[in-house]
Amino acid sequence: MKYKKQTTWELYAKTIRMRAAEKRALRERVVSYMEYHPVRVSLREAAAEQKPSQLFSEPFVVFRFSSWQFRSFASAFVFLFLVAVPTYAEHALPGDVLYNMKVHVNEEVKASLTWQTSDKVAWQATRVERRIAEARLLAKEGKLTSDKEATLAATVREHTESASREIATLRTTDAEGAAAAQATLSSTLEVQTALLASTASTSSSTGMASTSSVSTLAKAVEDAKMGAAAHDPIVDASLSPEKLADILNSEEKRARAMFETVKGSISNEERTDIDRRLSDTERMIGDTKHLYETGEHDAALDAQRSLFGDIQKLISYMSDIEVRTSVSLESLVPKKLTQEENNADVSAHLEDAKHKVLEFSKDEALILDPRIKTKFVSGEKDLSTLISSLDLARSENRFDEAQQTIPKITALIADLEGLKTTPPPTTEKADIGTGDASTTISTTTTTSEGTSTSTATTTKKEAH
Amino acid sequence: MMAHSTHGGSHEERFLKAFEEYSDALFRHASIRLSDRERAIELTHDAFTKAWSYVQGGNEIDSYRPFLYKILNNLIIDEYRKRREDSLDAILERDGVDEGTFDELHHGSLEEVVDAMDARRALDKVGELPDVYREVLTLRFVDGLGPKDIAQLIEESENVVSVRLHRGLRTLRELLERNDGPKT
Repeated sequence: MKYKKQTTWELYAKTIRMRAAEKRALRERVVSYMEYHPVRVSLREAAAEQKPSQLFSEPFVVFRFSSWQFRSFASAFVFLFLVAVPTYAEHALPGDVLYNMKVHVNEEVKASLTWQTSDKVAWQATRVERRIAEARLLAKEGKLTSDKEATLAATVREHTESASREIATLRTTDAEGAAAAQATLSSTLEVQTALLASTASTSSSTGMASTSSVSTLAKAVEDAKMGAAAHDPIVDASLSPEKLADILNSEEKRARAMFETVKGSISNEERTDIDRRLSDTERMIGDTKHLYETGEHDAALDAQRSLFGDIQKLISYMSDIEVRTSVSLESLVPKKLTQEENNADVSAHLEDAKHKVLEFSKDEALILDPRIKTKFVSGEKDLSTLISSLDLARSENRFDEAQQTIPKITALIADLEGLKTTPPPTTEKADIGTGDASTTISTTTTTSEGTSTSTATTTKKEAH
Repeated sequence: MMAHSTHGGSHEERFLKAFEEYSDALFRHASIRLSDRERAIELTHDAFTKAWSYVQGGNEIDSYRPFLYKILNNLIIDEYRKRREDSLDAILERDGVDEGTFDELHHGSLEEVVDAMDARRALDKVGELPDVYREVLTLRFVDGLGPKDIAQLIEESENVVSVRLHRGLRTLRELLERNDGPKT
């Protein structure tokens, strides 16, 4: 077939060739095509082994189909098995016949069709969302049995484990992408935890016994959340602040674009809330840059991570009406106060607290019972200590610390208020008083050491 | 489990061997015919995946080379249909090529004529010829197929192939000379 002598054209044309990388890429594409379209061995070999005579010797009635009949049957089958059934399966819930197809065929096929590792992680996160949505739907209908819940919890674990595996792979090639993927996964899990918590509270308030528990599932999501939040300090040190900042900026743009599209369909209040979070994010991105500049690499990285998570949560809030109707935005992404707002907020609390101190010093004289009085005085002392530390934190612009002190002060004030209205005890039991106040005071008396006791109080109160 | 071909080796092995042997040649062919590297790679890819679909459907390919060329050629023709290039006749008329000149083409061997041209410039100019010429010229002088193989491949008679080769070369030489000024 070869032409006898090579012409100059042929010789010259030999220089026209694919680059090694092009050829390798082409080969990979062809090979993956082959892998997705394997030769149907069993069919072919069976057909080859069967002698023609065997085809007609069996005592069966032979139905003859014309080729168009065959084609229409074949296409009906193809439609049924490749289109109709999988589509129908998409709506299946645990316990339905087609549910396994949805989870183990449809979703797996989709997983195998994603090439980029970050997309694979995103898809696993979406699968977790789907499982939680199924659980919520079943719970709403009162059909969530403990068996189904256990299955869902196990599947959630599978999804998050494979997401973690993908993240680990991604880390070797694209550390920043891996960090972003990890933050996305964590925030998805966080949103889902919030959703499950709202499901648990609705079902318990409506008193539906069979649906009251999503605890197994909540536990699975919580575990996964802890696992997803863990990161490796060595990898962290290698992350490039600029690349992370780029990812953050593009995510922020994505969130803004989404805001533009949902703007028209949400309430005014939601709009204001989201707008506020978006401007918070923008401001905080600037702050992280500042942290890097001042050499606080770890703090900056943490801030970037949490911002990334906040943006993802904000996106979930905007895109998922379920989330919007059952979870408050403040619980997902709390407002980030500006310095001025912080200052104003802290000052207001400080003023109130100082006012209370004056009030309490007057009340002190009115308490007759000596034991209560001792506790009260000790509480007052704690309050003054807290107030001065709050004042100091404000003057040094340490607002994070200030915001942590405020709830302690509020709790202590409430305790003292309770104490001063406690009637003089008639029995040992009455000494315990009412509500939270009792807890505070009993601890205060035993230790009488300012800050540490009131901290213990607050922790207890927060737990309520 | 791999299916085994009657030609020895699994279907996969034979197919990948064909890839190693012919992918460069197919790319080169497509590249000259289309004057577009990216599309050439795409069409080479499509040629291989189509060939594999044929194997996958339970068919045996006796000889990969003509089979792959055939598929590639059809893909390139489809590509031209998409581009809706000018009809051959229109170009011939516009260029006023007078049949019956270039007697040397009828007497001397075509390879001599080809070798007399500067290969790089000639292959650049081949891209400006109508595809019916580009097709036969590339198959014959770049891929080194004989007139009979070409005839089978493009489903025309050997006579038609021969006429197209002659006319193609003549048009090409005219294009080259128009750029250079006539050669003595």
